[in-house]
Amino acid sequence: MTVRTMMIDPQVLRSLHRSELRKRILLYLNEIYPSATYLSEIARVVGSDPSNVRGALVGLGNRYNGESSLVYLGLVEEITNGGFKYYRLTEYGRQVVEYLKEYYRYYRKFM
Amino acid sequence: MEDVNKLVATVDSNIEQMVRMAILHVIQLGTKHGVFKVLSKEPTYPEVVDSLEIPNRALLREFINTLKAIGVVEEHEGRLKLNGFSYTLKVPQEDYDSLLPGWVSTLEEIYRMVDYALITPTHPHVLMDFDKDADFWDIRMTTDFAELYRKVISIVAGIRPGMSVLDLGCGSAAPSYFGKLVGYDGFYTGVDYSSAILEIARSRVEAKNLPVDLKELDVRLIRPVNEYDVAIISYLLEYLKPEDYGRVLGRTLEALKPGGRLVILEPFRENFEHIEALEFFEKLNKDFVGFPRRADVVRAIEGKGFDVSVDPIGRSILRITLRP
Repeated sequence: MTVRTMMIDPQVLRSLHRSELRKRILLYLNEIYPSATYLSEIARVVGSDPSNVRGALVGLGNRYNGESSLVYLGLVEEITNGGFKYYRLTEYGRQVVEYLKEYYRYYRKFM
Repeated sequence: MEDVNKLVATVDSNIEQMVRMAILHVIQLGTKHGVFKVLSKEPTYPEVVDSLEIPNRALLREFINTLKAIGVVEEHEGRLKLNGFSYTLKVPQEDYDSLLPGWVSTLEEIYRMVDYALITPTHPHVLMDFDKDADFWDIRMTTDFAELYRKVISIVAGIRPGMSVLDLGCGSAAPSYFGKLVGYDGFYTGVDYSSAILEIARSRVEAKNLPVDLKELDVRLIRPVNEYDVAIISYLLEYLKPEDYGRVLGRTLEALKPGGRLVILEPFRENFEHIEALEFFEKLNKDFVGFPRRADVVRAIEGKGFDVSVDPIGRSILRITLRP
C-alpha cells in the first residue's frame, strides 16, 4: 500500500466501478503501463467496438458524456505521435486503479 | 531509528495545523451563509435560525455553538454577540517544515460536504458514514499523516516481529500495516464496528496473506480472550462517550500481558486550543462525540485499579505500561 497525497473523489471511483467498459479499459492500460496503446488494440482486448471505447476515453456526443470520460478525468492521457493517437494511464490513473482493486469487494457488497 | 520525538512533534504540528485550517473554514462558512451578518444585530438563538434560510437547522445550531466554543460569539441574556474575535495565523519555519500535504485534500472534501449537509444531513454528497462511505474513510486512513501516526505508534509501543497486537477501532489501513510489522511469527487482532471498512481491510490483508484477524464489533462490548503484548487505540475515543472510557480501557488493559503496553493516539482537547472548530466538521459523522480530554482518559484508567505507569508523549499520545 502506498501513501497517496492526491485526492481521489469517491464519487468518481463509484461511477467508474459501475461502468464495466471504463473499468476494463483502465485495468488493461494499468496492465501494460507505462506503455501506451492505440484505440483498436484497446477495443480488441476489452471486447468492445472502437466507437464505444472512444466514447469512454474522450466522450462521444450524447452517448458518452465527455465530462466523465477517462481523459477528461485525468486518468488517461492522449498522446499524438506521427499522426496516430495513443492512450496511456496517468500516474493519477494508476492510483485510481489501485483503489478500484482494493474496493472491489466493498463496492460489490455495499454499493 | 528515526528520532521518535521529532516524529511525535510532526504528528502534533499537523493536528495543530488541521485546527488552524478548520478555524479559517468556520469563518468562511459563517461569511458565506450570512451568519455573521445576522449575528452583528445581536439576535437571540431563534432569531438567527429564523432569519437564515438554512434547511438543516440542527447543523446551523451546531455551527453557532461552535462559534461560541471557539470564542467568536458570546451569549448574554439570551442574545448572541460577536465579541471581536481575533486570530493570528503564524507561519514559523519550524512548524511548516514538518507539514504533510495528504490530509489537506481530505479535509477540503469535508469542508465542501458541509454546504450539502446544511441542506440535509443525508445529502448524497455527504460522505461521512462509516459503512456507506467506507471508501472515503479509507482515503482518509491512507494519507501520509495516517501513515505517520501508525509509524509513531509502532515505535512508541515497541512493536517487533513476533509480537501480538490488539487494535481497537482498527479501520481499513492499520491491519495490513501492523500485520506486516508483527510478521508470520506474530499476531494482530483488529476490531471495528464498520463491516464495510473491515471488508476493505480484509481485501488488503488477504492479498498479502498476513497473520491478521478482523472482528466486527462495537468496542464497548469487547471481551478479549487472548493476551497481547501491545494494544492500540487511535482516533477511536472521539466516538465514545467519556462515561464509556473506563469500560473500554479496562477491558483493553485486562487483555495485556504483564509488561504489555497500551498506546493511545488522539488529539487530546486540552492540548489543542479551538479544537471545537475541527470537531464541527468531524460531526458530519453521526457517531462523532468529541475529542477526548487526556485528563479524563487518565482518570478512567486510574479508576480501574491497574498497576500501570502512564507516560504522556507529546500532545497527542499516551503510553500505558502494565507493570510486571
